[in-house]
Amino acid sequence: MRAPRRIPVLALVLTLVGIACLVIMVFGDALSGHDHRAMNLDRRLAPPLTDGHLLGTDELGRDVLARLLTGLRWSVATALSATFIAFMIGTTFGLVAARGQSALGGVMRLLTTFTQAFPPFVLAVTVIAVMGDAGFFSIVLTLGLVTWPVFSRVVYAEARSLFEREHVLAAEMTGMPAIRLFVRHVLPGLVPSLSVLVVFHFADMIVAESALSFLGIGAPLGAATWGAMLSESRGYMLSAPWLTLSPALAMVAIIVCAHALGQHLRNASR
Amino acid sequence: MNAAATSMPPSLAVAGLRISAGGKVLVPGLSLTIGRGEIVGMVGASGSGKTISAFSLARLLPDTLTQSGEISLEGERIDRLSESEMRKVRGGRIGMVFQDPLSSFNPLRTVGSILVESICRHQRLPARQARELAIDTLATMRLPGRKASVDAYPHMLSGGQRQRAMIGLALVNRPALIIADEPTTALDPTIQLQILALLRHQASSAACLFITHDIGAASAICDRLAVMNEGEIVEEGPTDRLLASPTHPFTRELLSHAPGGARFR
Amino acid sequence: MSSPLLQIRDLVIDYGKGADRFRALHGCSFDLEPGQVMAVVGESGSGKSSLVRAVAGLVAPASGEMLLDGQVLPPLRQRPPHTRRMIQMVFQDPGASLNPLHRVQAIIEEPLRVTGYGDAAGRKRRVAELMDMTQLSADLATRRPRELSGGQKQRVAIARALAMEPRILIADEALSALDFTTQDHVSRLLSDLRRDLNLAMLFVSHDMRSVRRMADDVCVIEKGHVVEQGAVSDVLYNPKSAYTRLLLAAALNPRAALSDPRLAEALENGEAVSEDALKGVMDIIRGGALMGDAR
Repeated sequence: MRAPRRIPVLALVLTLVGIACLVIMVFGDALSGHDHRAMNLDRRLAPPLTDGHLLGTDELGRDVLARLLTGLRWSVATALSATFIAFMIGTTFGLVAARGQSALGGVMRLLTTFTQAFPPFVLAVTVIAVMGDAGFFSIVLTLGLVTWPVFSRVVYAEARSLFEREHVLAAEMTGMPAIRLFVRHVLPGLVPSLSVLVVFHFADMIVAESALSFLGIGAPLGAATWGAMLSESRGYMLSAPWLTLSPALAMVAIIVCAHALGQHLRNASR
Repeated sequence: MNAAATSMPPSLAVAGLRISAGGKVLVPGLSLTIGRGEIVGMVGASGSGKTISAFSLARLLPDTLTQSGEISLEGERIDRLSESEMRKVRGGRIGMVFQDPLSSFNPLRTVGSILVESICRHQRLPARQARELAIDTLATMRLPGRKASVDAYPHMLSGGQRQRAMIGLALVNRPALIIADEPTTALDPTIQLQILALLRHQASSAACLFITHDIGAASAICDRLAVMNEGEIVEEGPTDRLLASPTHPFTRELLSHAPGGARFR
Repeated sequence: MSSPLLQIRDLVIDYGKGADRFRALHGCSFDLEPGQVMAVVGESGSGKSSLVRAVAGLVAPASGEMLLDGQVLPPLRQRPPHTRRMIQMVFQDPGASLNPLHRVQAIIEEPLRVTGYGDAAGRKRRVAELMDMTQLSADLATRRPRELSGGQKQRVAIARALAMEPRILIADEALSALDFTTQDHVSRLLSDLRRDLNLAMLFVSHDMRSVRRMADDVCVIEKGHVVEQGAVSDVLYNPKSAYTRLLLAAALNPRAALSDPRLAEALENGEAVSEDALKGVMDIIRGGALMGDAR
């Protein structure tokens, strides 16, 4: 009955992408052989594969690959941190609400309605615009704080049924502290869905951060981020399409990979 | 009632049935005959091979298990039939009742439409007549509300009612053989009695193989009992005789642990 | 005179609120003394699980009184530690009642840790004792639940409950998922524990045979109402309600019960069984000899 064993191509590709990301996170633009800030006005808008510029240069003569790699560093760092914050707050809140009496459950439902009515991204734009001064921490904090209900909603729904499980009830009857109960008996049961959620949320956060940068309210001015690169390339879309295509394709690639990983985890947990 | 007394071939005749998984023999050689109108109980603990033996009669074993041996349904060798011919036999000339009707019924379809589909496939009746037959069958199974239960979804019925519908589905094409695999195990004791009473009465037109670990339930309705252990029938005989004077130690063991204790008479 | 260990008075349990309210139990009263075993019998959905879950503190009653040693018994999370440990429970599904990720040693040790029992070595000795008490061989300590049989899992669950040193053990259909041979072994274990530890028990079941073997008193619940209550010797030999009679017939001699055509017909039709049709059943029940554990 068992299907013949196939070579796990997908797992292999995802692992390689993961390793590549890690290497880029560590070395950044050094991998391109150029400094992402170094301008060279003699070499503006050089097409890809000219004079050691693998992906060409931009309107200020900066190496596109170097900026792309720096952008990845920034994107992954912000998305990971924002996901972590949303995960921590959302999971804790969801667990406490699921175990507690109806009051917190009511708050949960209210929040769910609220976030459905108010798209978190719009909220994030507003918050950051009001704060004015954008930076890594304010972006990460804002994205985390406006998106945590995504986690609490799922955790709340699943933990409700987990708290009815007999082994959790048995643990409850010993009177162990809530933290121990969560960590030892409830969280392990949430790992399958939480891991899927984390991966999808990470992809969402990449898009959200890029959108903020594109609007110019994300990363500090002049920073090499994919959103900023896209924004700056708007005037050269036809004359220098590599300026648009490079960050766009990079973003598509990382999101496709994240989604593939999410699907893979989801199927594996079934 | 006795198959040997008539000139008709027995409803089910199994000879030398052998089931193995890879090199491991699970059922070395099983022989069993069931006459028309007879209910035979196949009783054994879990892992005794009773369920795979029953499934092999309808050729429903997974690919990892291989079977050989003669299986005759009303004199016809069904072990030689192709898979597509076998599909016509299952649900038609062999009706099946399983332990958990909630997982054997498609939750998205009404009980009636499941019956109608089976009727249309095996009897080639027009849709309206098939629906009439489905309504009649469910009424015969004593499901409440002559029309209401036809349009009920499986989850709307109680456990006992679902099992009634399942028995209706098994009987609707007037099969020669009914295989009932632990049909009462998931039910409360009083509901078990109801389903047993229904099965005994309604299955009287067919031959019935009743598989269970509960010798008490089997003894309630079976004419004969076959006690299975480790893939072999260790003792077989009329129910009253077997209950009164079990000869094999395993039968005595089964009886001593059954609810109801040692004595049924 | 001192008050009984557990007193239940007019206990009513509701689920849901307002228009969706469903009354699972319409008032139930009983006393439980140390070492006394009370069986709670009824169909699935009859309210018997709700009753014992209320005693365990997992369900809050709508009204009525629960007293432990004369003190009001609050819901689980409001119970002080010494009250909480007095009532422990063994659940129905051996597959779900143990954390699949933990080893037997850790599962039985956990309550000891929580209650601050001894040091690591002391706990280890205590786990070994508990495993010995529940007839689990010592080499199972390093196994995970999926490597155990159903009976072994239930023994681990019993050992875990005993680690809290309870005075009342609730067994919520703790035997019904096991095969008959294992049921016999586990029910014998429970009987031994009750004798050795003077443990009171609430024993939920619909198997009349283990009720007969284990319990001193029995409470039969049908659709949330107590239909019969009293000493096992009274209720099981002289049952009053049709449900109890039928349950006994099913447990004692289903073959004889179904050989009565009136009863068989009523059962087949799924109807309420009339007093008349139950006459034959009473003969089976009064047959007496059938009642015993023939051993």
